[in-house]
Amino acid sequence: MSISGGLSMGTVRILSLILAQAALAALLPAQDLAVRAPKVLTLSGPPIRDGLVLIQNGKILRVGPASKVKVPMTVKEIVLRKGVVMPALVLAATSQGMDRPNENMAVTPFVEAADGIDPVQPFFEECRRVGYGTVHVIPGSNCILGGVGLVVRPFGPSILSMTVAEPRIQAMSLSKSGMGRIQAVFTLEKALGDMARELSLKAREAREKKEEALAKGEEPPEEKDSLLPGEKRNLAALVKGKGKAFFYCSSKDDLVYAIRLSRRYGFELVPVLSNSCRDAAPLLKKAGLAAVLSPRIEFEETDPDTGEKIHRCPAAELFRAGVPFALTTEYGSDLSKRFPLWQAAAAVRNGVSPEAALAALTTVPARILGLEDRLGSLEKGKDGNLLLLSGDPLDALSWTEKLVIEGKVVYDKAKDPLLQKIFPPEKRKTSGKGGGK
Amino acid sequence: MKAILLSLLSALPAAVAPRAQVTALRAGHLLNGDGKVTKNALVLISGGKILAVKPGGALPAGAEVVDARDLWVTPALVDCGSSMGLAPGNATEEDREVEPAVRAADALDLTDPAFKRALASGVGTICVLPGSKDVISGLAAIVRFTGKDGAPRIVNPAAALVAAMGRDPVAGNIRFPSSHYFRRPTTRMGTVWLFRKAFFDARAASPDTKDPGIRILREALAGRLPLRILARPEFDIRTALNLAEEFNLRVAAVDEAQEAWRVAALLRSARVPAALAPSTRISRADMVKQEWNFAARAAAAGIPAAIQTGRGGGGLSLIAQARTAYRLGMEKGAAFRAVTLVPARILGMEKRIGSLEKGKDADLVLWKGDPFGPAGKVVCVFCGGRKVYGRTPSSKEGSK
Repeated sequence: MSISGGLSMGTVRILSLILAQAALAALLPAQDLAVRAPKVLTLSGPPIRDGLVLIQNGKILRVGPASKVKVPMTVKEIVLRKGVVMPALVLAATSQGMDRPNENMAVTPFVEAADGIDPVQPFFEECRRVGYGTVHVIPGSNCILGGVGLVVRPFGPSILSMTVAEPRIQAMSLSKSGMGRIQAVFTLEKALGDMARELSLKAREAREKKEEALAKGEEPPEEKDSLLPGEKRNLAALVKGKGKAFFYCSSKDDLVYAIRLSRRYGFELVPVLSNSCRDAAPLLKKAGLAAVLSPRIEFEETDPDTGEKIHRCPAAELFRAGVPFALTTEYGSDLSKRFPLWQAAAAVRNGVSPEAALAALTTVPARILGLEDRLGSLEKGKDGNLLLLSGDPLDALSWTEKLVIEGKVVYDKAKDPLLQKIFPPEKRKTSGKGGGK
Repeated sequence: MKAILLSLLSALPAAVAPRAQVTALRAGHLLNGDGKVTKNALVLISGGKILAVKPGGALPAGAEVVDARDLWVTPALVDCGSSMGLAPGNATEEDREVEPAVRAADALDLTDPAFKRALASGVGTICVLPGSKDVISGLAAIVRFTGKDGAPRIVNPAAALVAAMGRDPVAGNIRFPSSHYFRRPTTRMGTVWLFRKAFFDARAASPDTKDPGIRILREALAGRLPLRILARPEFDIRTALNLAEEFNLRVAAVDEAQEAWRVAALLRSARVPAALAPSTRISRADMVKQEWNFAARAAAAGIPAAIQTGRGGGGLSLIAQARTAYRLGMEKGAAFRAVTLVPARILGMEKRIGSLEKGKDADLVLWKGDPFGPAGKVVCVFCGGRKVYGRTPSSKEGSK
C-alpha cells in the first residue's frame, strides 16, 4: 500500500500507518464467526442451499453447504432462519459522509477525502442499514481536479479505524460551476501539463547530475522519488500513468475527452456517468471500461427537437452493450434513491439481468476500486463482509437483518430505531416475518 | 364514427347485441382492485365493458383471444391527484383566495407528455387538481385515455371542488399593509376564516344569483359537489373535517394527508378517505411530522387510503409509490387498492373503474411480472376495451 499525502497530511498519514493496525485491533477485534442461512449467494459461483460461511480473523475461511463445513466449538454461529446471505455491498463512489463534497478552487488534486470524512454522520449509519460493507468516499464533481478518495468501512469512531484501503483515486470533472467547457479543459490540461513538464525537468536534472558524477568518477547521487513536495504527488502519479481517476462525465463529449486524456497519460480511467451522458455504451464497450452510474436509476428525458419524453435507464443501456457498471445510491429525502438492492430491482425491471444487477453492487465496484481480491464475493481469503437479508435480494420486502464487517456484526435490524419504528416487533410477530432471533 | 359506434355498442347489453365481438383475456395472474390474486383467470370483454371475470373455464366460441397466460393482469391504475397538464406556476389563479369557478379543465394541456408517461406506467384515469395556493382554488378535472387513438380526454370538468388548509394558501401573501401583496390569509387561522366566509356568503346570497362561484359553492352545500381538501398534518385534517361538518359538506378525500393515521378514528367515523402524498419522498413541509410508513399506518388504522402522485409529483410513477408503500410495511392488497379501487371511489367512479368486475369499463394493464416485484413492467394498457399503449401479446395460440 503506497502511503503518501499532502504536506499537512504527511504526519497524519505516517501515524495512520503505524496506528491503523493497532487501532483496528482495538476497535474491530479479530473476529471468528459462522453464518448459516437457507441460501448463500456467493456471487462467484452458484447459490448454496443451506449454506454456511466461516470467518476467521476477519477473513473468509470456508464457504459451502452447512453439512460440509465444520464450525469449531469456539466460534459463534449466527443462524438466519429465513432469508439470504450475500457479500456485503460495495458503494463505488459517493461524496456523502464528508462535511462538504467540493473545495472552492478548481484545481485541488492534493485534497484528501480522508480529511473531510465525518464518522458520526448519519450517512454511515444509513450505509449499514442498506447493506454497504465498503464505501468509497471521493470528492464531488464541482472541481476540475477534486482530490483523492478513501475506501472506508461505514463503521468506527475515527477515520483511522474506518480505512479499508487507500487506492488514491483522483476525482476529475469538467463541470466546475461558473466555468465554461473550454476553460475547464484548459485548466485540466494545464494542471497535468505543468506537472508533466516539471517531472521531465526533474528527470533531466537527475540524469545530468548522474552523468556529471559518473564523468568525475564519483558515486552517482541516490535517485529519490520523493523530490516532489507532498501536495504534488497525487498529480504526479496520474501523469506518470500510475494513478487512477474517477472522471465525472456529464456528457458524451466529457467521456470522449476522458478516454483520450487517460490514454495520453496512461492512468486508469473510471467514468462516473451522470444521466445527461447519452450514448456512452458503445464508447465504453470499445474502450473496455466499466462505469459508475448515477443514483437516479431511471428517468424521463426530453428530446430537444420533438419535446417527446424518452424513458431512460442507463444501467439497461450498458447491460445490453455488455459494459460492466456499478450502481450507486444517495442518502436523502428521496427514498427511491436510498436502497441499493431496490435500485438493482429497478434495473431488473428495465431489462438488466438479476445477476448483473447484483454484480453492479458487489463484484463490479470491487474491481473498479482494485479491491477484487478482498471484496465483492464470498470466497476463501476475502474479507468477511456479509449481508444477511430477510429475503431475496431483489424482493421489495427484503431488509438488512444484519451486516457483518470483517467478522463483526455492525448492524442489527432489531436494534435499529428507525426500522423498529416502521416495523414494530409486535407486527412482525403476527405476520411471522423478521428472520432469526 | 368509431367512437360513436363504440359508445353505441357499450350502451347495448351484450344479450341484445349478440354480434358484438367478445375478447377473451387469459390472465396468468389476475391482481384485482381489491388486492386479491387469481391464477389462470379469464376476463371477457365486449363493447368496452367487462362481461365477466372467471377463475378459468372454457373460452367462449368465436371470441378473440388475448393470451396473457405468462403475464399479470390488473385494472388500470387511478391517480386521484396530480397537476399533469397544468403548466408549473400556472396551477393556481392567485387573483383572489376563493375561486370556486376556476376550472383546471379550462387550462389543461392534454398534449403534456406527462399523460403519456402516466399511461405507460399503467395509469388509466387521472384527476387533475388545481394548485393549492388558494383557499378554494377551483374545480378538479378527470382525464381518461378514451380519446382518439387513446389520447387523454377530459371526461369530467367539475369532479370536485378543491380547497386547501395549512400554509399553502398563505404562500406569497404579505402581512404588511404597505406591500402590494398585502392580503389575507397570512396565517392558518386566516385560511380557515376565508373558507368559512366563502360558504357563509354562498348561503346568504340570493337563491337566484347568477354568480358562478356562489352557484358552485351552493352545489357543494347541497352535497352535489364533493370537496377535496388539502390537509397534511393532523390538526389540518381535524380542521377540514370540522368545516365539513359545520357546513354539511361532502368530502371526497383529504389530500396529501400524511398524518391521517393519527386521526384514524375521526376519518373512519366521518367516512372520509385519505389521498396520501407520494411514498418515496420524505417531506417535513407544512409542519408535518412524517413517518416513512405513513401509508402503511393509515391502512392499518382502517382508513381507506389512496396514494396519489400529487401536485408537483411530475415524473413520479404511481405504481412505484404503491411499491414503496408496500416495502415500508403496507399490506400488498392495501397498497394496490390504494392506486385502484380507493381512488376510484374518491373520484366517484367506483361503478366504472378501479377493479375488474362485470359491468365495469375494460380498463386493464398487462404486466410482465408481479407489479410489486422486480420484473413488474407494463406490457400494454387497455382503456375502455381498446388498447391504448404498448403491444398486445400474440393471440395466435388461444384462437385456434
